[in-house]
Amino acid sequence: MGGDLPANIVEAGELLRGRRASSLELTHELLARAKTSQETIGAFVTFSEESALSAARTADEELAGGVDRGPLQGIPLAVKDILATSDAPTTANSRVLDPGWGNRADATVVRKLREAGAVLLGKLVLHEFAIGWPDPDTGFRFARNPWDLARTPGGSSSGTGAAIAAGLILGGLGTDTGGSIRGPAAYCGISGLKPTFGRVSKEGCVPLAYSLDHIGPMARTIRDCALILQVIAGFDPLDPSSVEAPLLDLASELNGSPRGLRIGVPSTYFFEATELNAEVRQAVLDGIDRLVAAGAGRVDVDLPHASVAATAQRAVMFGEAYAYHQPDLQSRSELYGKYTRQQLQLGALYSAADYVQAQRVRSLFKEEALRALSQVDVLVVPTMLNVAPTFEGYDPDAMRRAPTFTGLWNLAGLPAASVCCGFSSVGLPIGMQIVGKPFDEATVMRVGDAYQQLTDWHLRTPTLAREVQPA
Amino acid sequence: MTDSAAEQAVAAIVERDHLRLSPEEYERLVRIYAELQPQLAALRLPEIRDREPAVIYPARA
Repeated sequence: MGGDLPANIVEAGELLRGRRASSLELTHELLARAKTSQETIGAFVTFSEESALSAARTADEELAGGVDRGPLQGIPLAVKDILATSDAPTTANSRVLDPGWGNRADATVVRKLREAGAVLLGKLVLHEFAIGWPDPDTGFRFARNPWDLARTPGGSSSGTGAAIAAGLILGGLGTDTGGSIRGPAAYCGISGLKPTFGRVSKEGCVPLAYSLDHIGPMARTIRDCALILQVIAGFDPLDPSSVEAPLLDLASELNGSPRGLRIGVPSTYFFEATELNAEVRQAVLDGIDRLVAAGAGRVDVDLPHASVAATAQRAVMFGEAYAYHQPDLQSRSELYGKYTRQQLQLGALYSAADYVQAQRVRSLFKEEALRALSQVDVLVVPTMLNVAPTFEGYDPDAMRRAPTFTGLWNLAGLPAASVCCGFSSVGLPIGMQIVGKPFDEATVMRVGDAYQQLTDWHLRTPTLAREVQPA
Repeated sequence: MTDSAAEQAVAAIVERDHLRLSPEEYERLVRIYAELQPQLAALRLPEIRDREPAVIYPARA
């Protein structure tokens, strides 16, 4: 198959259906690339070579026999190693998780991907339990950003972001409790979507914070994310937070134009944050201008309680994470990575009263966000405050004090996507976030796709990705 | 909040929850506890005085 690999899922599907490539060839090539890159990018915890090659052969046979399972058939993907799979243990990148936890059936989302004919290459690195920061003392690999190996790909879906940016997989699954899909998407220059709470089953996912956790797609383009979401969405009786809500045919909703859509821009807290990098701010404002020039309308909206909602999100997240981890913090805290342990310990500082107050603020902010969204179709804000930081000099306390542009939408349960909207002066990707109404992923994705039809930021690949070739 | 008040509060939490902390971790929690209190006080907004803590969306539509 050589060096000319398909750039995205849509392109790969056309190759497979046109018999110009086979899933087996594609799978062999990407597995080889992924293995070669383990010492540099380090995106994988485990490879599922045997089952991947078997799935690829099946996809090729089925396509040759006229059995078409849809756009993911024969497509090499991978999932964050916080999701249960039948072909590999689940680690959550931690020595703490019971090794038996992975000895079980596929998580619902994994099962759906397999049923759609996807080829799962393996399980991807994450920040420990989706909350930590790389600590080499744990013995677990940590992923590096393909745009600059000295920098983080973001977290906690670090391996998914890095692997897609490096061209090791065509898409994958991440999880998002406060921005863990959208942050890596922004830092790696790819696309990622956190769906509405309840849209995608969390069954078979190691929890971080029960009421904030979401599973969602990550890929190079929003269109590819739509193809993955179409497969993994849907009511699941095994997940008590799952919701029976109709899902449109997302691909057909992506008409490539933002014409007629109203974009809400909340300046206070977001664009006026003193911590916001000037290049990020300008790139996102330019992105909004681009959409407006193509026919969207701009409406200024207000979210006066965004700052206190960020405090509430942290209270809920740390409180719920502490509820899950308290027994292990009591009995074997030394097994956690240093930064994970420190993060989890913070949960002890929030009282039950703080948690209740946070839930009441949550209710207020949810109404406030819905009120703002009643005036517009989507909100557009920066995804992150800055470009990807270096590993060296990491200060978890500084991050905790800073505003969050992502966690707010976990608190409100609203769908939110990140798309690449430019690059900094040192060549690092910048993310623009699109937030929608409950269960209206279609409009979020329509705006993201339209932006990607107007621009080519999402087509750029890091030099390293082009250099990653099997030995 | 005074340093000693924060230290007393954290000592009580650590004892209650049977947490095992290094001295550095203990000191960090004391420092952050003091930092957190004004933020958490801000959660007591007058406009949510009568508001129920809410589940975001029901299990089934």
